[in-house]
Amino acid sequence: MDIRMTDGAERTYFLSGRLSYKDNDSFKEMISDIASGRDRTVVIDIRELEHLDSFGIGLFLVARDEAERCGNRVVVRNPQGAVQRIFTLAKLDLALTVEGPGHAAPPPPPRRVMAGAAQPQRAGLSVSAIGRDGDGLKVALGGRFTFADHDAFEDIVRAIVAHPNTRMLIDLTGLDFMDSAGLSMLLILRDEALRHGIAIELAATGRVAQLLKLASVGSLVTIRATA
Amino acid sequence: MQPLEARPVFLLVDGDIPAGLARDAARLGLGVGPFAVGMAPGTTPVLVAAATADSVLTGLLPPFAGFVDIGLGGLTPRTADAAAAGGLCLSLSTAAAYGLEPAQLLSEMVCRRFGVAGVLAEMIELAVAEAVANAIIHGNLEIRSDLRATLDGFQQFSAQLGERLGDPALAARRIDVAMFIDPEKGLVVTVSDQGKGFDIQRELTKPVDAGAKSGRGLALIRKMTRAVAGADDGRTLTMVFALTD
Repeated sequence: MDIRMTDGAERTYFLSGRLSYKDNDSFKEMISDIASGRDRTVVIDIRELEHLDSFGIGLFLVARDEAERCGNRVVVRNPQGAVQRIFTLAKLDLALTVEGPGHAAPPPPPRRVMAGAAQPQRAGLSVSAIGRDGDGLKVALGGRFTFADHDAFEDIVRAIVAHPNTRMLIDLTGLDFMDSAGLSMLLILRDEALRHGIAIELAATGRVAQLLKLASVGSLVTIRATA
Repeated sequence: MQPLEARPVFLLVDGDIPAGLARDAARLGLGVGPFAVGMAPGTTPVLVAAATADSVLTGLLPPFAGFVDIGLGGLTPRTADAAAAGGLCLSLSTAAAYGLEPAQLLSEMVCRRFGVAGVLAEMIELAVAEAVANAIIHGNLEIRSDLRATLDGFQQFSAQLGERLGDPALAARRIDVAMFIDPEKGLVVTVSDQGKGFDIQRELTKPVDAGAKSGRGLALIRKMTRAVAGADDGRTLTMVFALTD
């Protein structure tokens, strides 16, 4: 990811490329600046940011927290395409001040209705940040995990394979519903994880545990009843 | 569970009455009128309006027997029959069906209106969700079945899904769900699309191993139902759920 800065009415940082854990150092420098002075507004313009993962989401929240401690303000401007979808999914548009859309029309996100007047949106899948679980790591899924959550799934895979050679618990106990596509995504996730030396375990209860049992997933992955 | 007695269906339209809707209704012998005027006594009302979470929910709750997306042109013979027989119908564009999670709404209605609860309601929700997903993805959007077996395949699937939902002609294709109680068999649910159709018998007899990453939907539906079969050259899936042991 590249960062460019300009000073105008406000200081603006332009992020371009893909934001991941590799950009920790450069993002930290920007955060130091955001946390200095008082009553400043700093703009982070992300119109050229192509992607961010759960680590990146965490960084934006840190930026906001650091700003608030000094009475400063962070404004995130012009999220586009996939990044805009991630912002909505992770409810960052509620946690941060977000302005947009950008001057270039984003490609239509699959979740919006294209024909007709109505614009219904699925509630979708929520994904926690990756945390510790004993000597390994864990991530928790919540809400509904269906065929429509293909974007969130790709993000989950990327976040998980960034931690090779560990044990990763995927906590499904917070899921209200999962369909066969969600099941397939879990199996693909297991394959990708294995390729990076990551041992996946699942925690599931209720109807999700029933589905896994019906589909004989227990023969491929360890499933436990509690997270 | 006894079905309500059969009554003629009356379409109540919230908005300007499209000419196509009036024609289709006449062909099926259904009444049509503006929503504001209210329903004629002794008829079963079906709500026709722009599809939002609120309007669809209204159409699925009593006194209504169903909801039709106003852009679609009215009821089909299956949905009209279900509504007339004291059942429930839901007709949405592909785009609205993608956005609104109809299986979740419908399973709630199955609980409220037909008294089904607990594990059975969960099984109905899953089976209907699978059938609607198939109707959207493979039926109306004509996306290949075996794409989602690898991570790369998933990325292709995401791209195709986005593209095709953005094609107004494909996004406007209809998905029709009809539900009614057959006193001999149980709860009958049909899900119909406007795609090319496929050989449901062949799909049902394909073996599915534990590690299979695609094509599991129909096998699951079969486990959730008392009976499952195809109709209309594979454009309609008919599922029967036993309501008594």
